[in-house]
Amino acid sequence: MINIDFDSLEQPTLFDSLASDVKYLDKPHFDLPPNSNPGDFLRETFAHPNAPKPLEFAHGTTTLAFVYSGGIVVAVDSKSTQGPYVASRSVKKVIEITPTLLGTMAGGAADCSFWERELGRRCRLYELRNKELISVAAASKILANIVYSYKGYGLSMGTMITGWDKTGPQLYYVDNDGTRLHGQRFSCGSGSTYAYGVLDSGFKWEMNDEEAYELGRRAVYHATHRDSYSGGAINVYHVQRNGWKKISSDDCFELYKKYYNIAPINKPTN
Amino acid sequence: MSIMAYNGGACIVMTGKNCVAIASDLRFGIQQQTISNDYPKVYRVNDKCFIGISGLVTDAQTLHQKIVFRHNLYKLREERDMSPKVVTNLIANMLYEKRFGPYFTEPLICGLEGPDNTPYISGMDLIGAQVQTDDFLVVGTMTPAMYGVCETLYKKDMNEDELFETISQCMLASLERDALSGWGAVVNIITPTKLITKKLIGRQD
Amino acid sequence: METLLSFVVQGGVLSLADSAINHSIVKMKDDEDKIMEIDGNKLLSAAGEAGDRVQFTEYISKNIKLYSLRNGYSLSTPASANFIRNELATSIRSHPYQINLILAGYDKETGPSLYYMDYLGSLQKLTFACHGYSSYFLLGLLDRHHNVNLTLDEGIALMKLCTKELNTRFLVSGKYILKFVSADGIKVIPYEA
Repeated sequence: MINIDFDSLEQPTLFDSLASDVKYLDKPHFDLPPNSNPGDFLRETFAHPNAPKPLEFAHGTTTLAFVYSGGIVVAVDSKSTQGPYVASRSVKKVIEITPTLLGTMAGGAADCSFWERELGRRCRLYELRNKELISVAAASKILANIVYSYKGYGLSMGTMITGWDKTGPQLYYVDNDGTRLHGQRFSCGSGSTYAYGVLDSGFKWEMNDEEAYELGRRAVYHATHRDSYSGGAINVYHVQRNGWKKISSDDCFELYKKYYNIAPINKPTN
Repeated sequence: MSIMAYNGGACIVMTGKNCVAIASDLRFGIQQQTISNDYPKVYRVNDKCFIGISGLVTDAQTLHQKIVFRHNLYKLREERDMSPKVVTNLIANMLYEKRFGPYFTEPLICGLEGPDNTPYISGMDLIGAQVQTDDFLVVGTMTPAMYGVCETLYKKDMNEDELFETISQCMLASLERDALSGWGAVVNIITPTKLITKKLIGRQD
Repeated sequence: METLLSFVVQGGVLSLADSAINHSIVKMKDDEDKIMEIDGNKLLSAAGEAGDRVQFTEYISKNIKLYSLRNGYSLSTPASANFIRNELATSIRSHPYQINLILAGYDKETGPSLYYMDYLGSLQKLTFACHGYSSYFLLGLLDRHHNVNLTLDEGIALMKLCTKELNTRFLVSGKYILKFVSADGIKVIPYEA
């Protein structure tokens, strides 16, 4: 639910303001436009021709995660663009939510990083209150409920939440519509379809860890080749029984030279 | 999205001492999808004049074919090659002919002019407004980044090796900041006695 | 929502196209041949606006035929590609044909070749090409698995891999037609996705 702050209507006492501070500590709080329908209001405001353009980072992305016999592999690119401008090639698109949970980032970078950080806080509180780790199902449900409560406000995120809990390796897809899907194989972002092509055609349930990492890496690599808005380096994580582990971070250019045996000399073409 | 950025692409021309250089990237895409990574935008007109055409690929191809046609007619009639200055005027006139339905291309022309092989570069907008400079010119989808590096790395009176190094570094560095260009580059150096063409390996993302 | 896919293999080119004609929510036909055979050595695959496809490909094939009747020899694949490109590029400013094309051919002198063209008239020679939404699924897969030294059987197996991917990930699925052009001419290969 959203906290709408009516306190300012009355002269607040010191106690009131302290109390409201404490209230905000409990839940994140956002100032909303003073309007009965903030979602519509924001949309109309930014639709105006003279309105400033909302900054959107990390709109192009390729992220994927899949379950196999040895756990879950998560592979992502690291490029961030604003229109045709490459803002960064070293974005961390895997978000380490807790030592056992991983999330991925696609869509708005700020939305993903803020809400997955908040998810981490809530998961830690759950752990302290209940003396056990939260399940991936519950964690992803918390995130889905948060974004659903902001539905129509313009949040932009497509994320995979993964981890290994009492029930084994688990993978969930959560997006800003409020969709929450449990599955074995997901890819998200502008390069996702290219990645699916490689991933689906190369997937086997029984793989050793190295094969699985390479499949994830290859799938993202080929997506970065075709999708202009994906690229940079490819980060691979492995979700194991006792928590996740970062496996590798390879620059796409180095991978290109490795995959196609490109020697670092420039030969004259004729 | 701008029609000039539909296919992506980048092109630089630069002058040196008794030589000129022209470089382009190799990407051909449709908006965010890369179709080919072997599409140079530099064309040879003759041994003393090269052109680079960025912008909408269909119009670039049409324009190039028309230029080749006009150049062939010129050679038949005059029994000599067109000089870069003449090529510039020809292209500017061809573009202005389409003033009310332009070719969505920005050409760059470079070459060696006259009997003493003076380096010459020029460029124009999509309806043929010419610009002549004596250092460098850039066109493409990320000109702010290209101007930045060219402005920083360019020196006057470079020899052909220095010129090759400079234009290559300018090209590769500015492509790093452009999502719609890249996938390698090609560099051509024109000197009075020889032509040098080299392919540069570039990032494939 | 149409699919065109072609790639070069040893000694020829494989061309695949979906065979559905859809009108709004209705499937009008599921055995339409969208790969036109020209001169016995060229395959012109086309997809796009309903009327334009047949009008344009017939116009092209008849003109290429006319050329061979007038001159006593037929247009090579690159020459045909440039002719088609020119038709698209000149018509784009007056009466645009909204169709994307792939031209595959086999010439005695130069062997198999494949040309990609979009409706604007951008032409590019490639070793594999794909049009339509399917390209979002297949280009990555082909980058991974395709090379020009595949045998015909390996090529057909790769086609199967592609249509399998479309059937698992792509919203629309249906039947396809597969053709092969080589030194021996054009062959229609019976195809079950």
